[in-house]
Amino acid sequence: MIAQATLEKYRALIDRLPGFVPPDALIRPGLPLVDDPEFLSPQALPPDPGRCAVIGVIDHAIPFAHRLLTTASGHSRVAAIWLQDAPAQDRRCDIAFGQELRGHAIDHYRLGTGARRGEAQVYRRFGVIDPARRGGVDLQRMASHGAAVTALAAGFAPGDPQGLDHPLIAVSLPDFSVADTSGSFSPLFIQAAVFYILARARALARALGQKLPVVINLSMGLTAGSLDGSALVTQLQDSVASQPDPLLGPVQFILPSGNSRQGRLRGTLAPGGTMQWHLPPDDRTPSALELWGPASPLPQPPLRLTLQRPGGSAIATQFGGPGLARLLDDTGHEAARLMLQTLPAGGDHWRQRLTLIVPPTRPAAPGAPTAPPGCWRITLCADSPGPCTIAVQRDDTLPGFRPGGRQSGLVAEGYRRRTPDGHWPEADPDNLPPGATAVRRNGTVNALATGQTQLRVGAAHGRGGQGLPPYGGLLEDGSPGDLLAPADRSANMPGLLVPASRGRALQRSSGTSLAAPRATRWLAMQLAAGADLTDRASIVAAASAQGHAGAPPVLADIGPLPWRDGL
Amino acid sequence: MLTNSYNSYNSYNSYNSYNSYGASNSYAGLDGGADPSLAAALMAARDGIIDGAVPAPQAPAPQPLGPACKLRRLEPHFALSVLLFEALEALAVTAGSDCATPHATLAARQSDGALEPLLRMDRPSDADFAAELALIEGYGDLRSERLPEILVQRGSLVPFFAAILHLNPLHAPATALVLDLTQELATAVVQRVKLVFSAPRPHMLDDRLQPVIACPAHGAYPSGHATQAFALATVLDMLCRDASPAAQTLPDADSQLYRMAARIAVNRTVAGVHFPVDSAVGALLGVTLGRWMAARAGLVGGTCPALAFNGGHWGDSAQGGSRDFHLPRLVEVMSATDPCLSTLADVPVTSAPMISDLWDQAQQEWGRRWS
Amino acid sequence: MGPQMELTWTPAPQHEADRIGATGAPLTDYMLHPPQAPGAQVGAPPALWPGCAASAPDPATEQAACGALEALITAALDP
Repeated sequence: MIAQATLEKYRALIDRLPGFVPPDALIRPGLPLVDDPEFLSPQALPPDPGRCAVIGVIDHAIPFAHRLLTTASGHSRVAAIWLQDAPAQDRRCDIAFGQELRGHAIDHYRLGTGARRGEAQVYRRFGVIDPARRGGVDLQRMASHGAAVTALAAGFAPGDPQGLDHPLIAVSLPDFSVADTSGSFSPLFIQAAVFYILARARALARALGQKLPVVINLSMGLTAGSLDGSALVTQLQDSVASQPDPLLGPVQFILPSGNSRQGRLRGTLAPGGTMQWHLPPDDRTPSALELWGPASPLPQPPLRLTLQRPGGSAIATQFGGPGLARLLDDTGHEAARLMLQTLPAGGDHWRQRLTLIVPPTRPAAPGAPTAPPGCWRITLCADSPGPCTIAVQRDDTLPGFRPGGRQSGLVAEGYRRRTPDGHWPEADPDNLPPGATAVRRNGTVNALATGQTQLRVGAAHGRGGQGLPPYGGLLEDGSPGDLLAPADRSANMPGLLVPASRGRALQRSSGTSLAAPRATRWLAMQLAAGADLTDRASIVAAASAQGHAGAPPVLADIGPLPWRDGL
Repeated sequence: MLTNSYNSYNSYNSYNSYNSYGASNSYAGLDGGADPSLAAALMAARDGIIDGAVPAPQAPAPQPLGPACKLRRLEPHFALSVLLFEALEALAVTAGSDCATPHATLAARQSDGALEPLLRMDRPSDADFAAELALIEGYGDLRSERLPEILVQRGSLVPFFAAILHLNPLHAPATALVLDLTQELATAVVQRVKLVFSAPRPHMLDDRLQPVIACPAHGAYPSGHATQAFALATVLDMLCRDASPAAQTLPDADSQLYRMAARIAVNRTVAGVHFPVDSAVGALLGVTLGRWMAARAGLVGGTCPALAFNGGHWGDSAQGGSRDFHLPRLVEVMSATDPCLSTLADVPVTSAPMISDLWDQAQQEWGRRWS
Repeated sequence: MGPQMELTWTPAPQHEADRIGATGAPLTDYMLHPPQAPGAQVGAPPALWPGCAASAPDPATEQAACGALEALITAALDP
């Protein structure tokens, strides 16, 4: 069962929560216990629960007191939000860390005493603006991913009655899980976030006496992974979406197709083939890549590689079966760590996964393990099972965070960064054999978005029809997604304007993370209007039927947004 | 910190370049940097038109002019000097270190020479300052988004208030002079108070803070920017109304003027050159000076509220005991009893003729703003 | 480190592989158990994030958190 598997898989992380969750976000026995059934103030309740759709947002630094999340009377449309690394001020039986807030509690503080309190005051009250607090979310900055995503998915002008049809249930992920772009820790928090949104949506449905459809936006992405939907995060979403809950209407997950098409993070290695892995200098975090063997119902001999560090001699892997090993240098320092596992691959098939991890190229302290920057040569031995998919894990620093990782990438002969006429390539050439050693663009889709039911949203320039933005990830078949949505004004003017974290401030931003919430907004409005859209195919068909042109359809016009986005 | 020379340095900004106001006068060349060719031409022309007749002096017949009227006939920067003198005639700063806590008091000088305290300021301890370092580090995350403001506000604050209230020096010259006086007065007072404490700058306590602008040579506590910004906000709050306020005002958390003043103050913490408590005491000093100016201008019944601020207890009543500074916090502290702020007896303030006249003019200018 | 240094293949003790498990995440384990300098005492792992504690296991927190997560899963999925 996925839930049990989740707890088992992440037990090691839960054990170590104090290492990356601020101390005041951990649950302490002395906190007052809360068992509050209320969600929204009466002024923010949907006038017709039969014509509403809950919008779920899982993101970072969500400005829950933003004016676009309030009614005309200033009441919050946020039914519930889980701030996973905010200071814990009370305790609920099902909140494992951080703080939950309900809309009516936000209203009580903001409007209760007659004098309206500003957004900054609300955030200070609940500890999400506190310059002295380290390690947790800080809503002081104007730039905010969560502000952009939440406003696109669920933001309505305070006087717009349509906002009342879309209560928001949100989860603000912890700083650490977001800063660690390798996704080593985020699955626990994302998984918990999905459970939270479902739990609260069901409770809200009971309170309103009405089945509620739910559209959940998860604008987060990874690069390594199997692409076969077997990751626990993906499995849970597929399971929930394909098994209707009696209390809820359709539950649909919407994810971005990812931004690493040109990143050289994916490729294929044929037996006997060699690919280089370029590690940049000044990378403060470990770098990792995965080799995935072919799927097979029968046991296969272990994958065999030869590895060569920059300026060093080659060494062959010696796995006799699944296991963990290290490459040590003459002084006993760990140069690399490797693990071979055999993972279920759907049906009764299995795939081997060999993970290679090297230390940072910039050590944390003198004497700390360091990898030499430059190109490592990776050769799949001629007698090894293959061809293998090679996938580099994401390892970069997000804007607004302190310097951390720098992205490594694959280097292979024959890979063209640009087409001869200077354009950024889209899909792989048709004449590239599937098993050939090559760096690829097909299959660069967000590794979290490889399930059967999720909607993968790619980016379009303007209203579409101008070619793809260079960054959008591609599904394995080379398609940019199930749907597209605008993320840039044009090829020459990247980005669109989106709300920043406060007041009427705007920020310019781009990426498939901002295309996905447009689709979330559109789908939520369709479901609230009673459309019977229960799976990916029907949703895509509905988009086409509405006149959104293109294959995949571009959601160019989803109704007016409560700000001028520059489109 | 602003001085006369700083003001003229920023001549790119027409709101500040009151000195260039004189450029509209065609005899500007007769001022200090006189054009040498004009002098030579005047000499030659005089030689050409006078004859050898005995001079027949005229008898002066001056019309009586009040000092304020005379002021309007002066070069603006000299008018400012006169006004500053009139302001400072009635103020004094005293220092003491009883109870082992250094403190400074801004006092009003009465006509009999007695000093009545307007604002007593107690220095926080070194441990108090150290406790604020984590706040400054957290605020440092905002440096890139606040950098344009930080850089401009090194030399120029009035444009930020002019953006709120439409203060064009051509429409409102007396108001411009009031604002100049406010800034100069705030500078003179806060620099005198800073000297009492010679309080440390944050990066002296922590070498990882690394401020983004050069740190000034003078001490930190109180913040000059906070003093000036809140003095400007208070003066504008009381000046730019359809009728003079009957009583002294309290900073208002919803007012764009006070929000701007608080942002200017906090930007200094973001830059890494001030502790939050520097802004707290600077804000109180600025508000006090603004209120005192209004009283000196003959308003609000000629009294000024007086306060005593203990920097050590700043933050005691805040959520979590935080020593952070922000506008709602200042308003909370000023609106109710608080461990860090106590009320002293109201101080009678005699009105000053030139400041009163100037204020009057400025008030009328505000009334004419739609014309 | 000299560029010509030879590398040696060194299998890890079985308990380390077991710690990750057949389907576990090696990179997560790497971050919780980073490489130690040779001969170093195996001390408490460093804090992973500023402002947080060193990431030594904390049974009390784990128990409370697991209990809450189980309750959340029940609220989410149970009929």
